[in-house]
Amino acid sequence: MSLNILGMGFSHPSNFIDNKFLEDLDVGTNSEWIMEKIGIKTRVTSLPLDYIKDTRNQNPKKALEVASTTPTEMGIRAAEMAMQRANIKAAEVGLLIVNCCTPYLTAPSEAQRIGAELGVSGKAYDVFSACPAFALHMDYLNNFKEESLPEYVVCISTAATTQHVNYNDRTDGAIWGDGAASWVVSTKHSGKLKTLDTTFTADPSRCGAVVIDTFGFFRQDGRAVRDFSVRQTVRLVKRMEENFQMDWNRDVFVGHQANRTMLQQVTNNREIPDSGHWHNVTELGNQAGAGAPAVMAMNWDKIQSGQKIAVAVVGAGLSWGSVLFEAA
Amino acid sequence: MISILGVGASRPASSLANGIYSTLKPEYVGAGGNVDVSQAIKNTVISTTELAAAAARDAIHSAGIEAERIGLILADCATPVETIPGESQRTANLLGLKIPAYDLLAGSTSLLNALSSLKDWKEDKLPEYILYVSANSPTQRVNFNEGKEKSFFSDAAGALVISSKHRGKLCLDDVIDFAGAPELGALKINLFGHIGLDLDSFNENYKNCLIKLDKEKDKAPGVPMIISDCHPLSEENSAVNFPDQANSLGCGIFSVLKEKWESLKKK
Repeated sequence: MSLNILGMGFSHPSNFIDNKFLEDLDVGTNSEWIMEKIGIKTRVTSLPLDYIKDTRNQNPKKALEVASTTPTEMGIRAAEMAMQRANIKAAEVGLLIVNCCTPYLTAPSEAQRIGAELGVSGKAYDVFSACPAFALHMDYLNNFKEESLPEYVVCISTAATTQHVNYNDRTDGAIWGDGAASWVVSTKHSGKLKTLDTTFTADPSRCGAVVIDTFGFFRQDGRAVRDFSVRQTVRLVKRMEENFQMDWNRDVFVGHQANRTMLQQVTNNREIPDSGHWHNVTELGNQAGAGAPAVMAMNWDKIQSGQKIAVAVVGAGLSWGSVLFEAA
Repeated sequence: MISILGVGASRPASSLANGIYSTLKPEYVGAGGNVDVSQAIKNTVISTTELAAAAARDAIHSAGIEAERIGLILADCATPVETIPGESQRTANLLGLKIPAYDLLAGSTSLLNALSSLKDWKEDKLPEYILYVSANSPTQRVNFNEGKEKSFFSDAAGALVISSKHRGKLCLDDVIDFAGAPELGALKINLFGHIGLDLDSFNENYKNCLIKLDKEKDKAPGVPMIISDCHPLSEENSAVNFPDQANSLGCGIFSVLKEKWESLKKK
């Protein structure tokens, strides 16, 4: 059985926070430090820039009131793009699974609300592990007997993490961007991408390293998470190299879009040339579980027949996983 | 075939009123009625995750296995104290387990949703033992100063040990899937707000579900039906925990199963 990707979509707000804006917040950061440590030039946010400047988002509840868009709306737009590319209608979707790090409601689930808006008549529920959602969803679907999966499955990962950022923190404000990604999966129909391999696992003993408090802010043990992210991503890529014939002159690596500097460490370690590394973190920031699939969705028309795409994603939980695709 | 080897249930030690078990300190509820829900998590006698871990340990003991043999933890929680990480990972941390863990969230139908999924997995993808945990603290989202919600909800957690490799006391015959968009207006929990219940919609949903279940029951006459909330069918064919424990967003079924566990007999 092969999980085939028939279409992918993405969505993000149109407000950009650049490094000059963060410098002007006067929280002890500057563009040189950001580029050296994180490698992000701009990040997208659903928050008005004046709101961030005036309040530093000290009251996340207010953020929801002033935001230009919601995780639900972004998820819907991403799914609509993915379904259009897959040439299917929402009524044909037999299963919708969603990952949302920043829900506006904790009941009903994000999937149930998005499913109702889209007009999905099949089952809808959240499959959640924050940032590694792309690998989790594909690995989760890979567990099923082929005959038990519906004709079309839609997956979405969405988050508006900037709404939970304390902009008095010089690091957190520089990391996050808002966005959603979606992909249409089928075992009954071939698509642009065929899944060759999936993995997902976790070490919950370190779950306190990356947190969003329900009524508060994002916080993390930055150094520990950075070391974990690079180490695990390298391991995941090495495993795909060892088990499959990767040719980095033809194939592509897509990592978790957390930090360009970290991704550079990975590509240096695995000797992956720039041409074989797709990313969007420099322009959009860390879009949590949407990052890696959004990269693929944004490069959808560039995917070449025979090319392998190796995705390695890490994040909260701590959890991590990989997906290896081959383009038809 | 998916089998249930053990069941666990937990709830706070004391109740605010008949059937209303709460993780909240009674003095906190008495002082302000939880008008500001953001203060709730600072005023608890036990956390939702601690309830989850207690139910999990109970289920593991009930199954007669060691926790280290569990290969996967799935969980649901509609009242999380953190939106990341997931409740499965917080619970696994308290249990000291370093294994794959993620959340499957479908509100009060989360358990049936999870069982429905697991029964469709390939055999070689199923770990020897799976722990499923459900934990909810809806009273942390109740405004005790007004509204019907203060009489409707209770905090609780439940857990099951599930296996396809070992036969347990209960084997999953089938899960009757109710696909289709749920009645979204019946019950809502806004991230920063109180729980909102439209009792008429809630009851209408429940009635429709029971009608469907009743029709399916005819396919397997004599199979006991276990219902965790306040709408019993008939005494001989149902088991309830209401009014001893109010609505815990799907966790009630675990306490009912636990109560009946020893008396369950093979057909």
